[in-house]
Amino acid sequence: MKQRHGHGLLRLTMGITAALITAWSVGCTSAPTASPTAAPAKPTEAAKPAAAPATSAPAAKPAEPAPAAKTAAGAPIKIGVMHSTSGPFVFEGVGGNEGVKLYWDAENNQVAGRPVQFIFEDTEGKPDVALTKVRKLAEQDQVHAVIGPIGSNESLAIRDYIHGNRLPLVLGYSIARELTQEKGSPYLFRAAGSLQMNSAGGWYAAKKLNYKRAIMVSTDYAAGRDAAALFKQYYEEAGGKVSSEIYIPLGATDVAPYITQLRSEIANADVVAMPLLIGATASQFVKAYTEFGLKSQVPMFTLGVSVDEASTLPPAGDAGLGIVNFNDWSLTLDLPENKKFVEAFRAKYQKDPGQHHLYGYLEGRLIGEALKAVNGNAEDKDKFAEALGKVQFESPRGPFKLDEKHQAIVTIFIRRVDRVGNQLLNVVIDQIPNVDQFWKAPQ
Amino acid sequence: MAFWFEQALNGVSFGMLLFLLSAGLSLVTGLMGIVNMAHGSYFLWGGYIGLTVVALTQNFALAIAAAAIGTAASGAVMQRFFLHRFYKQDLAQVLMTFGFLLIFADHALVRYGGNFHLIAPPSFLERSVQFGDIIYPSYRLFLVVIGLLVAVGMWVFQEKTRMGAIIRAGVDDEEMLRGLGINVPLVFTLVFALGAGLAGAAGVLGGPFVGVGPGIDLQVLLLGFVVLIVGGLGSLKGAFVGSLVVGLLDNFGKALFPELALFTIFAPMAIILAIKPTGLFGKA
Repeated sequence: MKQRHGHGLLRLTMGITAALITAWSVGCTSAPTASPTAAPAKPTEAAKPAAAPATSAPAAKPAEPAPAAKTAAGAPIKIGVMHSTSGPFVFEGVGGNEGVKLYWDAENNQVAGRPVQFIFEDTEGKPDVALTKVRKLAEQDQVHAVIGPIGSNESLAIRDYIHGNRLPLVLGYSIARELTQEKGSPYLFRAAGSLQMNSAGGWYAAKKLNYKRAIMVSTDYAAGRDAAALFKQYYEEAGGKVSSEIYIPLGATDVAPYITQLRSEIANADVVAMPLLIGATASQFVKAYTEFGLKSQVPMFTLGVSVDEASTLPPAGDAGLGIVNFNDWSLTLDLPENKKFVEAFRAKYQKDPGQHHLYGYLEGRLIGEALKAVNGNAEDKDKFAEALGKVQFESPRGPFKLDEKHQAIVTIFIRRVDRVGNQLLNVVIDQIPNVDQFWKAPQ
Repeated sequence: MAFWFEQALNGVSFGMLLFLLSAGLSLVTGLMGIVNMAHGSYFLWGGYIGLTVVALTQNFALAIAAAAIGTAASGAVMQRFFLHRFYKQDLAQVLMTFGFLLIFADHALVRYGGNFHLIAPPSFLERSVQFGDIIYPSYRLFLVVIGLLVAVGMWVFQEKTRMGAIIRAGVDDEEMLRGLGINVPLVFTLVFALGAGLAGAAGVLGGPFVGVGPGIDLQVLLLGFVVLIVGGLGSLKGAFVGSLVVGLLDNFGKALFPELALFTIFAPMAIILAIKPTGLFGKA
């Protein structure tokens, strides 16, 4: 008697649960997922039940309307956003989403009379997940464009898919050179500076700062080595000599062995240059450089990401004071558009923007300006892509323009970490305009 | 010459931090057979608790105490109410600790965000000292002193106290210990809590240079396991010697063979597994 009763109850429970799951998944497929900053895990969870009903679209190119099809007046434009909100790039991902929303919320999430819907997906910083997500966004959600992943490895993984499916992809964080060179595409756009910043940086260190010999310290992965090679090329062409190179692996728990190594070689250097030292390692390195007494001997010259006020500078604290660095933007940049951007960001989020917020903003705005240019016709992929390539506007970091390979042309600002009031801020002390990915150093 | 001396100092100071982290891990694994995948999470959460306490009170010692107590309590609860249900089912226990690892990591991300932090050490340790040509941060020297004090304290505890004898007996033969009428489940919970508390304290002590941030839990867990393999399970001496060996070899390895930096951690591990699989001082 007892057992039958038990089974009946079990079946009832399972039935109710199944009904609830079905109702939830139907609800999820129709509505776009909500703000990702509140609950990083949610977009992935919502995506899973939605994936259960088998997609009717085949894995190949989705059917597209003829180029002359009229814009569905009032039909929503859908943009996929693949910023990771977990994994190694959670910081950039969450910040990037805040930047995108800063632009689009101010535009009331509409353009040319059509509402714009965003579908945020978490790629977890993994290339395979990125590929799964982009397929889902393209085939299930039928997005008109994608705001790209953060990691270069992820972007490289989805490049062929977006190129094959003619899906416009806007990147702001992936710095791999190939994405706008050998692996460029009419549908791939990069809104932020890539490694090109190191070309100007290398030249400046030799020609303007007159450092005759340098030791380069960079992160030991593909982008870190590429950045160092570029810096070295321009530095040596301008008359400098790289006496040694130190590469620190990603996620090195203790940087002391590298500092001690550096000390043994520092007699051969006038500057320690950091073409791409990022994240926790950058903060640890800058702090240890002072603690081990090296800062008083030889100055540092680094890419701005190592002394960024929003991420790497606060942990290093006063150890960062006085460090000269180069970057495509600065919080203190005295341009009207930058002041507007910083005020708006502060009003919306009650904190100062970092460069990782700016890049998200630029990604969002690039799409917005292009949609305005085609009057909301996101369905005509080729016209939309053409418009994306031609967008120009006054951005917080100066005039926004892309080159023929869709790489942003930026001004490189030379900055120095100063104490302003009771804060440490990067103050702009010089600039090098019109640095594109094929920049030629002035003679 | 100065270069070797400085690298040795680096290796020893880092090794001391590893010792604080892995002493508990070694005892727990030797005594209970549990491979605690969440051990690095105690380090992480200890660091975050320490960060919060230092921000509020500027008191580093208080931060260490708060972190140790917090993680010890969390470890006790985890062992008593979750892991102990799977007594003698090693695989189930390991899987459960892995679940805790994920929960702790995610909760830390929600509560503290993705930023990286370096904890400010007490002001008297913020200066650097000079020997000859070398300027060295006094904090790392302090860490060596602390590590030695804890090592001596734990040795006294293990060799000279009744509780220590109970633990040593438990590592050797747990059945016999029960037979003697000792409340073994209580001993388990206490040892687990002790290990967790030490790891939490290590998280604060490592805060000024290893830092606190997402991913630190996995990084130190890996290091802890390497020390465990090199030093052997269930042995404080093994944890101490293993930590120093790993710290020194890793430092010199990174300095002398930078292309193999990712392997320098695993080199001592591979050598020990080949020569003495139970570790330098592990139970046979």
